Amino acid sequence: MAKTSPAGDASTNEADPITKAALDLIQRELPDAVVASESGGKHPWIRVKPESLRAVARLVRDDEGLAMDCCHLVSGVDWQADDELEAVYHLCSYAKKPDAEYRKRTPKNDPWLCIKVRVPRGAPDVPTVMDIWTGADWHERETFDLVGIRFTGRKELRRILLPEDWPGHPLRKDWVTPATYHGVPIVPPEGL
Amino acid sequence: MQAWLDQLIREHGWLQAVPAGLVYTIAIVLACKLVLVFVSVIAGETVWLERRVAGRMQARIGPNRVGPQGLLQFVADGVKLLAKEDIIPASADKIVFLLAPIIVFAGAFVAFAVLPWGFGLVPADMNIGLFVILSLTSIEVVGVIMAGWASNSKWAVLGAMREVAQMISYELPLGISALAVVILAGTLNLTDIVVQQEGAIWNWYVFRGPFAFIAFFIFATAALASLKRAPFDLPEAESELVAGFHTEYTGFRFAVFFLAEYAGMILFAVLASVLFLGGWSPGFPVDLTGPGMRWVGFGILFAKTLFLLFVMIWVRWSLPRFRVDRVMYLCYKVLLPASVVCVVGAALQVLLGASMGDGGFAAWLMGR
Amino acid sequence: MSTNGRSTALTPSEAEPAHELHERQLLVGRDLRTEEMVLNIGPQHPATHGVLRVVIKTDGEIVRALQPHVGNLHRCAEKIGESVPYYQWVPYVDRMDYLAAMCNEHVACMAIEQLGDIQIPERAEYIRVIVAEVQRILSHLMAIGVYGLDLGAFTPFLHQFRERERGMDLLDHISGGRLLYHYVRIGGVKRDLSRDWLDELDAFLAAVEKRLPEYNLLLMENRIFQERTCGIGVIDRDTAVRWGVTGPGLRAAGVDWDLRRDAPYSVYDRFDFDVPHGESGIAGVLGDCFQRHWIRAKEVEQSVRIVRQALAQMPEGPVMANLPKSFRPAAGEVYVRGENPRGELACYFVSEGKDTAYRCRCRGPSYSNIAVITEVAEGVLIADLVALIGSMDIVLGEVDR
Repeated sequence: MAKTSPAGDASTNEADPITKAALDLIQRELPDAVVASESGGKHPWIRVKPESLRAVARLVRDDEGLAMDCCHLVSGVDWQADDELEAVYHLCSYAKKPDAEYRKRTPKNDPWLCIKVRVPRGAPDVPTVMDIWTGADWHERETFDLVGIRFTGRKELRRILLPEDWPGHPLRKDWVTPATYHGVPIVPPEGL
Repeated sequence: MQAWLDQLIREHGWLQAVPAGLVYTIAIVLACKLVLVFVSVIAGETVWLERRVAGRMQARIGPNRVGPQGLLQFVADGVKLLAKEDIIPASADKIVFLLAPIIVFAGAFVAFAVLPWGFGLVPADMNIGLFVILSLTSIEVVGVIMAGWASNSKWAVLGAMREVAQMISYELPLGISALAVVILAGTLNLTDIVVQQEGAIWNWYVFRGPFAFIAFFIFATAALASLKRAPFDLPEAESELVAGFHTEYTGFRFAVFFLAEYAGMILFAVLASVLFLGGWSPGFPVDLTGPGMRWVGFGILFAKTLFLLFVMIWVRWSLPRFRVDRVMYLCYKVLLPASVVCVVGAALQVLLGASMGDGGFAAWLMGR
Repeated sequence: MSTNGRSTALTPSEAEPAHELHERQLLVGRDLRTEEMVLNIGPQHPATHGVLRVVIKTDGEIVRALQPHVGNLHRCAEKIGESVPYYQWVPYVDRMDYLAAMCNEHVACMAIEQLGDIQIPERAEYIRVIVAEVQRILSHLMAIGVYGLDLGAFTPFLHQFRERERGMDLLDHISGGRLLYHYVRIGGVKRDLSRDWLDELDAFLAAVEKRLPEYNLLLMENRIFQERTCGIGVIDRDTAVRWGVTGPGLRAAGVDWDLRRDAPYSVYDRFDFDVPHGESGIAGVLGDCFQRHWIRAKEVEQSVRIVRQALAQMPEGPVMANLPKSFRPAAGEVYVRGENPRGELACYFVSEGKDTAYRCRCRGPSYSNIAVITEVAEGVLIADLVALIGSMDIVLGEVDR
């Protein structure tokens, strides 16, 4: 009974060439920027310091080998146990195509790059990258709206999905649904 | 009509006891009612025709439940619209809001008084018939502006502006292309224009030379634009402005606008048939002036009108709509110069004596 | 009672760019005072493809500034993803891009399977591809028809419903739903295909191939349609990539990129198909509305091709893997993206080893596709705005999630 694997061959735990190349580049140009990284497995990532984020972003965008010209997604994660908020950037390139062997070599068959930034809950300020990738604008607004990470250096940061006067950031782990909104009672379903 | 009324009074002695003015007034009122009812019913049936034809073109059946084949659909729609709540926006200019549909309606319906449905089957046989029709349809423009303005809604105003620009602009090629026929005919009286087209099919003005031929298509296009029908239906572009200048109208007031549009369609279809397609003449020599035969003429004219209505409906459901600047471009840079050329050409034709019917143009071409 | 913070006025940042002021002064000098109107389109509007609210500042017919307000269809899918088990959350992705539900499910299930290191049977992969491509055909037909409707051509809209009915019946017979299916599940697909269904599929493909030239005739080869779409709403390559536009919008800009071919997932690397992208040979300008529409029409043909190849290659076997009763993927994260009809849908899952996700983030392609109009729509006419928004083919379900 033939089976296919959902993504590449998981038996090789080779490092993802794109993440490795990015890591080498950042460590070469901005030696102190990288806090931690993971180059192998299904989801390789590079964590950088918040203050180095913009420089790292420019680096991976302008480098000819990586050419990460698109900010595919900006997500926010609330790590309640560590009392930190994390902004996760998934970048991809439309200028460079992966070669045919790329898929077969790594468990992750998709040529994206993941950059992460962690900030303390009390001061969740992350510099914006919307002037580097314009598409990050709306993703940052959503991350602010739902998780509460404040992106600094922007002309303005408004909520996008929720009403402007909504209290709090719902995707934080400590968020409690308010009882009413403008006098209308909110009754969340069981378990939410 | 006054002569006919006088004869009626002479024939029936008891009418002479009534003051003549009163008889005239009652007769006029009855005649108006007749025209109103007649046109309303035909407008309603045109709605039915539109919905059935649109349905067939869209791989579905149109309304076919109410009455035989759905012919009474417009009655059901009318009753429904009458029963709807009459909403007037709070910030609307009330008097203007209420007057606007009446003016649009009047503009569309009054013109029917001058249309010849058969020889002598015309409520008011005026020597300047064509001129009257073109003037009366221009009154609708005023009603449209009033409707858009009084609704006090940005979208209605925008729709009204577009509509006015379009209607006013397209009155030029409309009138000028009709003028080509007037020059060939030498009269503005619609009955006389049709009488001159009696006989063979080559007598029809559309076949009397290239200028009238082109004028027919210009007239048709300009009529479509003047009626706000697709592909010129920007003012009512649902996808853009909800319903344009009549967004805020509900219930029967909306029905009035709706009826006025379809009445306009019928008006221009009949006018095009009368001016270009021979009116009640069937294309071969037959005397349709007698009191019974004129009703046969009515039927022939009706058939031609139906055909033109079908073409209008066909065009509406096939084509996307023009953008507003393309509509203006089409009017001022294509249709207007073309219609002027047609008028000049028609005048030249008359000058050179080539406007005769019975294949006269063909004869002139061949040098006979 | 406040209007929930939404007002018709533009925020200060969008108010007065410097060059506009200069232009007004020029006109004032000539005693012509133009007044700018602030207009609200939506959220209830026939042409905004959902509950999209766009506030525009217009100078007559020309749009000077534009601000989309999204979030009217926000249904908290990501929050729900943190509260319900993975298998229970999969139907929520259907409702994001409700016109491409099978494709959404495909991506979400792929992501969860990668998270949990689940191997699914090969037959299930082929079935997933078949239903995803059928769904792509249906979605593109809808996009083509609705675009005609936006521009005033009422008839192709109703014609495409005819083909969509056959396609929806097809998906209904296999899954029980016409629009939202819950058919592609973690571990495979719910039900195997029957012989009758395969015959029905052949008939559907034949009908689509027969009718597609009609749609092209009514729309793309129509002079008025070309006038309305050629050269309108040009999104060039740089703008598209910068804003994260994906799908036909990106390909129309000249970027020859399709995830199914360039970073293949599932069994897409076994099929031979073309990727239509914008070029100068066809009508219009690179990246305009016409080319986006043209690409969708061409992609329908390619999808038919893929389905036929998949039918030929499909092996026998089970269609669902054996899953533990309680699915607890190991701690970790995944990011998986797939080529949906509207662009690249991506799912980012963070797992802590429990049966519900720790973080469940989805990227709907229409989110970026609609963001780009803030830049592109300046200087267009209002009628062109409708053409532009229609050509981006957005579904508010995946914008707002």
